[in-house]
Amino acid sequence: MASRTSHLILAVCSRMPVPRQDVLRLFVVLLLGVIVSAGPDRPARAACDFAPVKQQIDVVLDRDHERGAKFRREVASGSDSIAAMEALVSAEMREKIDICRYDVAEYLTKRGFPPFH
Amino acid sequence: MSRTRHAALCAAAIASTALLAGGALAQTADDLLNDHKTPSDVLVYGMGYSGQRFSPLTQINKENVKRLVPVWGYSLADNQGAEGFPVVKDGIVYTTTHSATVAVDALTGKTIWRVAHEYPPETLRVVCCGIVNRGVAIYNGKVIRQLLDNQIIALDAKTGKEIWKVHSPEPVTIENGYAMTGTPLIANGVMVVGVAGAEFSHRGFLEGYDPDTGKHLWRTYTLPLKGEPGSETWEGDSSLTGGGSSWVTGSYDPELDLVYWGIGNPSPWNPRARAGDNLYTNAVWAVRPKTGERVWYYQTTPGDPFDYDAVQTPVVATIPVNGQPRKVVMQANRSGFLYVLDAKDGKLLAANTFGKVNWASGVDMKTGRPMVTDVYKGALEGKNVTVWPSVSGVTNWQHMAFSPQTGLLYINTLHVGMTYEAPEPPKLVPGRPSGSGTVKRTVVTDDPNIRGYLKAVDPMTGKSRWETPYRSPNYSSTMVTASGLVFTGVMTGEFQALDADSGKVLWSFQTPSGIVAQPITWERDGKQYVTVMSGLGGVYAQRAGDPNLANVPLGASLWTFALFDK
Repeated sequence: MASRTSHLILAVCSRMPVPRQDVLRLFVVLLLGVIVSAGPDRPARAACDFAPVKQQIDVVLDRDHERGAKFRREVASGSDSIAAMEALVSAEMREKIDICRYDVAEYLTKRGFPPFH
Repeated sequence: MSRTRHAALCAAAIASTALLAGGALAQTADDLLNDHKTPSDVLVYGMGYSGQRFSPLTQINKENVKRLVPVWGYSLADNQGAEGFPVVKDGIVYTTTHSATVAVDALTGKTIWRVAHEYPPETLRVVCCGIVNRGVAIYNGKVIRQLLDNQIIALDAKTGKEIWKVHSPEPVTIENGYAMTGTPLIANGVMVVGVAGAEFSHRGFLEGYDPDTGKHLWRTYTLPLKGEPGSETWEGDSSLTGGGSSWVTGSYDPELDLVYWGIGNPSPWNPRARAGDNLYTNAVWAVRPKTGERVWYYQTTPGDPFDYDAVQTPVVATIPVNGQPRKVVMQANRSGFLYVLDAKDGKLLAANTFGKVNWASGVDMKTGRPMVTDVYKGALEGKNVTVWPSVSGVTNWQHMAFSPQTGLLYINTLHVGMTYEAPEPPKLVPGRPSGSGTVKRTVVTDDPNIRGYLKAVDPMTGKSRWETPYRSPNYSSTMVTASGLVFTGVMTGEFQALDADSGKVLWSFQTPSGIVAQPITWERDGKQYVTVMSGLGGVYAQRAGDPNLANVPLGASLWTFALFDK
């Protein structure tokens, strides 16, 4: 996407013929970029959306026997429960877990796996 | 009388009281200096600059303490840990939760004002150890507190109206791992504050502000940059994310004009990413409040693998050392050693264990360094070792009290060990987690039904005069009175008074939740009162997995007790 956009910018700037819908798309992309970057109080991190995170934890603990067993083994051997969960999910979910770190800790505690300190 | 008229009259009465008291609300530097001599007020964290938590009041004593009853209880409408130190001035109690500051009539428990504080929801990502706040400072008619999102706010003590609000300057952001849970200390006209965040790869510091305006005056980082003195004790550029928090409030000696402040653990917990002593983490600091200049330091656990913060408030006292009175600072360290240091120059005078310790066999009194055992060495090599104490320490943040009468320290201790292993460490960036996820550990106990003791300890030997066992360790601070009573709270909710000479529990009252707070005592119109917060939460309650605490109800409240009159 980024590569296509930069090619488009180059094309427009070089006054090369460009399809009208592509110019419109470029305009929208640039406008969105300006709006997003101009936000004065834009948080560097999104707020926690816990529902999908909880769902993922439940999948590991209750439905995915292989990952569930691995999680329990890791925690029993001394791993922190949040770190153990992070190691078993996708990079995208790992990021979500990190954002929701406090809620995840509370939920894992409720499920009997308190992260330690 | 109709309910409306009654309410109006009550409101008018409260307002008049507040107005009349207004003239006396200003708290000068002299008031703060004399706090320990004026038991009608409690103005300074620790019940006086020395942090002794000793009261000269004697009305409540060993004989009559059984008649202690609640005068009032006050809901703080919050389900997080209540760790605060209440301040009392002119018949008003000021206290905090993480999200509110309240002023309460000290005799009736009625609200005078309540101010709610908001912070961005993402703040909680970097709050490692409980959503808490430990209280306010009071100065020149202002009530001043820190907020979780690194802001500091001054409120009018009479009305709660905001006077000023500042944010700790760059790079202090939630995204960079910083948070504030402590209480400011106002010393020699400067407000000294600390910061949390060593579990999120930050670079710790102490800083000073003008308490009248909020103007930032100085910042002293606890970790050196490359090329600065001490940087040779860090591997590569690891000091940039090296922790060294200052999350627990310090003490002050006005004669020497030194603020004493405990500095926390290096980051990450896993020591294999930061070979070296990691100066100036895990150290007691003496600092000039006007400038932030570090006058001396004493490092307790060089290259710490075990999260042994040295954050316990150093207690200032004059005690006999080799038969001569000497002004010292004492710290019951998380590492299990009780250190006694000369208050003027930091010279090590005593270092003895006051709990079960196996990572070091003692402290070399010439070099001041711990004599580490194979347990410590094995941990640095990545071996699986069994360590005493656990990452929670023999103490944690909860404060000890010192009685000049008995010469003893009253310390709530933990009795928990751990298996420990430091695997390959992760690459760290500021703001990313660097604590418990970087090591492995499991709980080890001698007896799962005794995880802590309240001990009366001789500071020069570390030996206990008495030890009272508890099923879970007490994360309440202690307070001792001239009548020989030690007050403390229990995480299952009991607020207790013990005999300072024997450790016998003389009185106990069940509060609605667990106690992890700081008891104080004060007097008004010739009557002695004891005040404490109840409300389970904080690091141990939420992170230790202690089965004894599984069914303790949440809910923060403020309680005041006095002797039953009839």
